Amino acid sequence: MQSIRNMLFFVKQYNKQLLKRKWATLLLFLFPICLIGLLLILIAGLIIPVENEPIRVVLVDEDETKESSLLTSLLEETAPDNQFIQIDAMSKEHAESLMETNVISAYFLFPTGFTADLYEGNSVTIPIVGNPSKPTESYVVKELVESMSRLLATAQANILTINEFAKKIDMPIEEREEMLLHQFMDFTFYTLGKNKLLDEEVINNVVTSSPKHYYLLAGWFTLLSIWLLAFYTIAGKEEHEGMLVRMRLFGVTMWQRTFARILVALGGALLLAVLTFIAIEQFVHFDLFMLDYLRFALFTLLYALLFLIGIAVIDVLISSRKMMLLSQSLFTFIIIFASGAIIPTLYFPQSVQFLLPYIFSYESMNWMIDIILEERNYANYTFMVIATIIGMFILWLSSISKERWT
Amino acid sequence: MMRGLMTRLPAHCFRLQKEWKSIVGWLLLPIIMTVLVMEGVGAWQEDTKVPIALVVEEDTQLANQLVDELLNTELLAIHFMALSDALHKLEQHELDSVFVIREGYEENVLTNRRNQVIEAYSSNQSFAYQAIVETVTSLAQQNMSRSKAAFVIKQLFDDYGTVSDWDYDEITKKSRERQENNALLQTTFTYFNMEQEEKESSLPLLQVFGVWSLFTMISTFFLFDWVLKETRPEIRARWLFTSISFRRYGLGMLGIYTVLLSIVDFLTVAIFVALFDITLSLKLILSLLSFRLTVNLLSFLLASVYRKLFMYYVSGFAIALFFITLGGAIIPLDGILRRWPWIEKLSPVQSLLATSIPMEWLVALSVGLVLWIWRGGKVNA
Repeated sequence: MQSIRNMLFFVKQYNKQLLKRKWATLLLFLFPICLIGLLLILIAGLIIPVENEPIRVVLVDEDETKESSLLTSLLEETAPDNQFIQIDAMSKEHAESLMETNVISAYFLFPTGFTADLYEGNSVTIPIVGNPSKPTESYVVKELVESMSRLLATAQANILTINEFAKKIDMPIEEREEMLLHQFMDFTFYTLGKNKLLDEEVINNVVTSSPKHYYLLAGWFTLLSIWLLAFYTIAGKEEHEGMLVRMRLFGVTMWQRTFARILVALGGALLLAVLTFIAIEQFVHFDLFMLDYLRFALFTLLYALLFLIGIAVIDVLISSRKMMLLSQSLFTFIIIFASGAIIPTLYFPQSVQFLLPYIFSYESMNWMIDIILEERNYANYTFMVIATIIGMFILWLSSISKERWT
Repeated sequence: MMRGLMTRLPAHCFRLQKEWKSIVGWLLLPIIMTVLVMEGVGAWQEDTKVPIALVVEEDTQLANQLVDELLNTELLAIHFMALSDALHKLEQHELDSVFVIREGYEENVLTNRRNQVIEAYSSNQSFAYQAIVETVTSLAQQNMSRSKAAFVIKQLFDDYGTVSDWDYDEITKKSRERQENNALLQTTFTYFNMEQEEKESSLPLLQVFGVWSLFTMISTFFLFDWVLKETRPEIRARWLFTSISFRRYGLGMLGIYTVLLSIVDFLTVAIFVALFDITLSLKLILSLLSFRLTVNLLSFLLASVYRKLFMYYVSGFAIALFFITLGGAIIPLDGILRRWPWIEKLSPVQSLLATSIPMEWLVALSVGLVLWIWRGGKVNA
């Protein structure tokens, strides 16, 4: 009874303190939003302009044989299939002047002797020249030309093989050369049209499982985690040695103070998280039953509690404040990352996958995805409840031993 | 002996001597963390496999050849299962995509009807789908053009009456060997108006100096907490009785820390050059030194604004995070710079990554330092 009274006293105390530090609280509220917003703007900046104006690439044909001009026109024509890239053929001087005026992202060229070397089986090099002020786009072009040349290398190996076998039979040289040109065209078309191999279908079962919905939920989850850390950080109060002794005399334990701090942080962060979730609901309608919202809320609560317990254990165990701050930040990052909020867990390495079911953020995020995005009508809290109990016990144990041994 | 030495040491060294363990720790932390993060990310990338399902509807030589080659691809973790199971798992987002080698694959390839011989299913959350499609189609395509070559040769032999010499396996093997042994078609990549050829990893997922800048900013902010510790209300009065003023003490410490951190920076560069793919250049060293000066001045001035130690730490952390984000260490800035080029001036990290010098920051911070000196090195500059 006394213990609960003590706890309530500290809850009130920390609450007051939180309100007193209103500017710091406001900043900590805005900080993660700004950071995530900034990241989103950067990603958008990287993706969106590419759609409106394609990456412009110039192809310089210095060889000027039948084969190379055929390849050139073929590449010019097939590029519009890909809305991100536009290829134009022109002279090297022109390409360089366009590079200087920053119009194009890269150019690549077929050097003199390109065709002859291809037929001879000599190694041929296609130089790609990137625009130093557009490194990302240059890189995309580089990858593209590389993959194209890998494909052409297959075609070339086959033409050379045909040539080799053709030499074995008594075929007139002229006829053979004509046949090779024909094969060259044939194989090039064959190569560049490789996308026709596939019959593609997209499976959509639930509308709300689109990447947009996924990352809205993930973003909210990340915000919640950072707010929890922020509120916990700001709610505490460093007591000096004398005060600690006095408190101990009044029967106040570290456990009571820590738990009070967890409750305050929980209240603050969850309040903001609920408001944010309501805001998100205005944009995308999840349309769930009341029961699903309750399930979702329960998982959120358990996750938040477990997360704060983790933060509090670090707080109790590490006495250097700098180390503590660094460790708590790393803990937060790992917990968010393991939930799949940054990269979906499907794409994690196999060697990490088997660990995931033991991580509470993965468990809770998974359930949240199932409830909110996949419209699943079932929930199992066993793991989360057990984890919370264990977490509480660890926190209690570490606070007790900390008090006893220091 | 120790005592005698101490009396002759300048006042600056008391704190350094008292806290040397923690200082050395924070000095070395950025190196250790950067190496750990880079190694971790490297191992992660190497180990990452995209789970896909492969449904093989026929048991022919060509189909099996394709399956074998897909199995040898490092990028893929292939599960064999029935189509219905695969589609169910795809819906549950337990697979990235599903590929079906259709019945009649070999026959279609051999008769040159190669449209839609493979079926591909993806969901709206198949983030790696495009990359997988690229891999699968180019492997299938290679297989197909080999068999196409074999049949072209068969036709030739037919025409010249030597069809008995024709051997499918021999031809495809030759073609494969030719492709593997001779580096037939290669590409080189250079930047316009730059001589040197770019290394293979011109755009790695994470940049070494990007990671390092985060940790070094955090530890520099932490190291500069002496500004706050020396001006605590309880001991502020001390400066009235010392032989040197806090202004001189502060500037001296700033100098000592700048020298100390620069030495560690040189060590860092040496380690990074040995471990990672970094070419040492004068430009890099200059850029690093100016970055160091910027961060130190910023930490110093920031620390003299704050009263509460803990809030200073938290702010330092937040500033470091903002700087690496705005500096393009997490996501490249190219897209946004095209619209608002001034953004590159906002973060000194951007200057470091572009191996340039953050002039605007250095000028602004120098003005700040002059103001601080002019105001007499008070706590609240």
